[in-house]
Amino acid sequence: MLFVQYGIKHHLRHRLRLLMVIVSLALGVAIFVSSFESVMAAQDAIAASARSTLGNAKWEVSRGRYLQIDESLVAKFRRIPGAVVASVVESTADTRDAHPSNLLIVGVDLSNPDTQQLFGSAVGTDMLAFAKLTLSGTGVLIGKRFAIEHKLSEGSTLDLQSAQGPRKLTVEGILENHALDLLAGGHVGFVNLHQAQADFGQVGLVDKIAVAGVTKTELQKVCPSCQVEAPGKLSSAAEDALARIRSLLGISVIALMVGVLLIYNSVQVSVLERIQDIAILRSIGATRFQVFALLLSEWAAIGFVASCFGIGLGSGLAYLLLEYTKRTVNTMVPLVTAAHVQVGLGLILASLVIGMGTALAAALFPVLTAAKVRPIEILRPYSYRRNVRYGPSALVGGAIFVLTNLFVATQSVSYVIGLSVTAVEFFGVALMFPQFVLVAGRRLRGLLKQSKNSIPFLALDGLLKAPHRTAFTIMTFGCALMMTVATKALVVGFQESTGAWMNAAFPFDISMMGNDLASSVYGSQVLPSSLADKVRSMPGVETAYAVRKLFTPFRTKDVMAIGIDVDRYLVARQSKAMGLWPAELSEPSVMNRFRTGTGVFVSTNFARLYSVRAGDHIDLETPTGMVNVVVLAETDDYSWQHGAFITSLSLLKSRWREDGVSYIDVSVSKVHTISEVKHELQRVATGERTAFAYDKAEIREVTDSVLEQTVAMANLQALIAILIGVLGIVNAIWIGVMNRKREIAMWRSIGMTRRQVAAIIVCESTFVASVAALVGIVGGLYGGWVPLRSFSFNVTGYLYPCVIPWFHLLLVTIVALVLGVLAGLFPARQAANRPILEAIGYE
Amino acid sequence: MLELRNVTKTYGTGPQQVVALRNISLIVEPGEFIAITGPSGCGKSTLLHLASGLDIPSEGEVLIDGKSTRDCSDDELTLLRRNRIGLVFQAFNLIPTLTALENVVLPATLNGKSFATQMGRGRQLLEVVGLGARAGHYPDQLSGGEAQRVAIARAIIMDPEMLLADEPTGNLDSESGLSILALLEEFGCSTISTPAGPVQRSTMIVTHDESIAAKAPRRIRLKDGKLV
Repeated sequence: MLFVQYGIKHHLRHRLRLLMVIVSLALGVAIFVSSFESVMAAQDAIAASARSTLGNAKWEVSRGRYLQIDESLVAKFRRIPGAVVASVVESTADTRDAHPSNLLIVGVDLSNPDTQQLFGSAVGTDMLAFAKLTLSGTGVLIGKRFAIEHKLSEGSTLDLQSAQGPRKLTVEGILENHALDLLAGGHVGFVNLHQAQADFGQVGLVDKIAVAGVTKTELQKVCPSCQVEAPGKLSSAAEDALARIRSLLGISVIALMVGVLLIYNSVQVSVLERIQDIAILRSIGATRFQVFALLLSEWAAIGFVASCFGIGLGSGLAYLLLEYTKRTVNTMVPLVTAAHVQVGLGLILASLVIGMGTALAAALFPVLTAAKVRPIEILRPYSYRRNVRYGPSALVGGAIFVLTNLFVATQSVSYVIGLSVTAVEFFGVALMFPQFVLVAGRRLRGLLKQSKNSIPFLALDGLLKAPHRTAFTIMTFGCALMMTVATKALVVGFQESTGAWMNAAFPFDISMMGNDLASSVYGSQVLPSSLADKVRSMPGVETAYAVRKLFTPFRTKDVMAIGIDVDRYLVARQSKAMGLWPAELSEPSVMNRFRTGTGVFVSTNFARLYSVRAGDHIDLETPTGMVNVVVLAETDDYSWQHGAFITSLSLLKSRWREDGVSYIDVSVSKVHTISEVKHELQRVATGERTAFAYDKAEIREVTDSVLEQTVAMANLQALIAILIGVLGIVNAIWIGVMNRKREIAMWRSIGMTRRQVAAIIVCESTFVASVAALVGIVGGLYGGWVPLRSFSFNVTGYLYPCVIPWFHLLLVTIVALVLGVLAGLFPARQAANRPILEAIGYE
Repeated sequence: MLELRNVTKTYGTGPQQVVALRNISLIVEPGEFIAITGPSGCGKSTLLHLASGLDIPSEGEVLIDGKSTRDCSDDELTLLRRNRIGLVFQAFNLIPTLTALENVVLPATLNGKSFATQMGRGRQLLEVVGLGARAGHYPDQLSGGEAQRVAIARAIIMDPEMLLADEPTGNLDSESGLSILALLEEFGCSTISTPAGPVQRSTMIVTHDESIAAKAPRRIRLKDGKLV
């Protein structure tokens, strides 16, 4: 008990330092909790939406994500004893009112008892509404939440822009069932199955069949080529969105690692401060274990308190991050309304384990060292250890660093393994860094000795008194900066390569499309082919070619098929004096195969991900059966992270049964301006359908902003990590001041002014910050160019160029220096104002 | 010239107030070598701290060349200590990460001179105190007597007009103590050049060792904060 009191008294005497440790650890835990919660909330929302569209079904029968299934199978499934079967058609549409939003349209046959059995819980038991819908040709049942949001009531008209064009539906009923909220956040409308089939151009076809009451084997026996899965399968875009936001958890782990170093510093100083006390305890009979248990339990308790604060703070932060998550997800997958952040018992326990584990991990080494202390060594006067060496640990760290990099460079690793390896790599650098600081510091010391101004020399001398503390402080702040540099390097690399690709591949000035890029990049809305002819005849339009993009299964992934109106595309290029793209089209045989749809160009990432090259034959699954095509060449294309192939529009029309077009790319004649033609295009399209026209710069802006959106959360977390890093500098410099009370007093007594003392301390923190900036820049560029680029390559097949984000680097340097100066102000004030006599008497 | 005029120094307030010095008046003339003696807690160190401008009297005045330390700003007092007063402490107060030579030249660098340019002067002083061969050694590689010699060299590198030493032999064995005293005697009354012309340095050492004090031409004894 006395031991506990002794520990508490010690920490209360150093309240501010204790507070900084708690704040930094709490921030680390908060980043973890908030990332985890916001990601989980979005994931749950997407999964719940995916599950709920199948009602109470046990199985979802489909032919992949993007191929329809023949409705005749429904009858075959019903013949299986006990089977409850309902067919489903799904599509998304945008409302055309003052507050546009997405609506998931589910077409089901509500007159069928099986459908009522499967969807009763979602739709409710409003039989009158069911009956109305069954009889109606243009009716829709909507949830109460959606009705309130869009001021709809029974009988009102719901004006929608669907993939197939504008649709007007009559609200036949408003369902008050709260279960609907689970379904795409309540943004769902039920329509008659046959109406949906007609509206979405798939008469006789359904997207999936919901089945209950039978086994998977029984279903597979009836339809061997069908995919039978439990409900909840996510679309490629949803998986992509989730993968992006899951990666944020990785950043929270890095932030926690940054926190470990800060705590390590604090623990070590706390132990060093008490080393005399510990020696006394040992000399009067305390065992090593007692000392070890005393110190470690103190830090476990601090970890516990900090974790509790972190959980509270993280929950609040999660709401903020959730907004980012929703926006990120919704740019790729519409209809996700993740609104509930629930910190469950599991997460609380995990956070406590992480927080306390971090504190204990940081404390372990200094505490072990303290427990091993021989009392006589400490009680002897003048026991300052000057000749510290970190050579062996630096060698171990160097070996770890080299091995982890070799591993990342040579192995195709998963995200989790990649993250773990990065953590180990970080540990390796942390081990090497004290030796680096020692060696570099000693060299710099010699140079500074020549300076007329002794302040930098004395500042460096102060930092070199505890090389490991200086090293870890630099690492703490440097790693936080590294995170922003690495993500920026990757983003800039991506922007540069996509920009070059867009300039080389697209001869258009304006692209007209069915979906609003502001709401979703991967929208599936199409325009009628006839609109392309209409556009071509408009004044100001020199040429226009149509492009159709769709997702189609290929091996285990969904790839993007891009169909181009080849001849008109070539004309457009010619009119812009652009050469052939891809260049291989100059070969007549290649041109012929491309035109006839017997050959395709594949994107570079497609070629890498599926190991195909020019001349290979690939089988493509289409609604009309398998198609075998030859790969004509690889070409740069950044349309889809799972790979894309480019073919003729005619092939897509004939084999995928797709009549609409996704884009109409327009070249503007020289006598007209782009804005004039853009305005005219939108005017012509009005009434027939909602079409959106964007010029190249706007498309670039949208794609860039999607990317920025994805890394926005990462940047937010990096900002918190930077805050932890700044706290680390304040902590370390302040600790240095506390440990040098006597020395500083001596400076003052031999004639150093307060200003000079303060300048030395600020110089110390600026030194730390500038080296941290260097570490952040070098490490960040390395991180962005090697591990991050490698992960990106493994996942997407894209190998982005190594680009130096100069402006960002300048910004990082300036911010680091300013923060360095600010971090030194408080300790400088403490040092400069310390009474000389009191400090001289301090020992 | 240093003058203490009716100086009283108290610490704390109310019932916990401690009077360290009571109504002390003292004049230290150039060239004087003074030993201040007295039992522990009699106010010897306080007197030295007041004389060096490290502390301000509660009552009375400490006058250096006629100017009261009370009227000096913190920077003025600092510059006074840097350029005109050399301080030697019982615990040496050397910087453990600087070599003996670097410790010696440190005060000179505060006036905007680089370490490199002061090395010659520093070496010369170390030679004088008998530590020429130990210039590159760190404080933990020196004996107590050697460390105190380095501290004395540091105290005189700026050619101060006054040398103040607080128990300079307190942490040393008798042999080392005597050699330190010899050094203080040597430097204590030497003539130095100032902008106003040559002056003789005055020295004041605080010691509780009567045998050390016996070697000083002028001895001042303190008891319970009063001159006796």
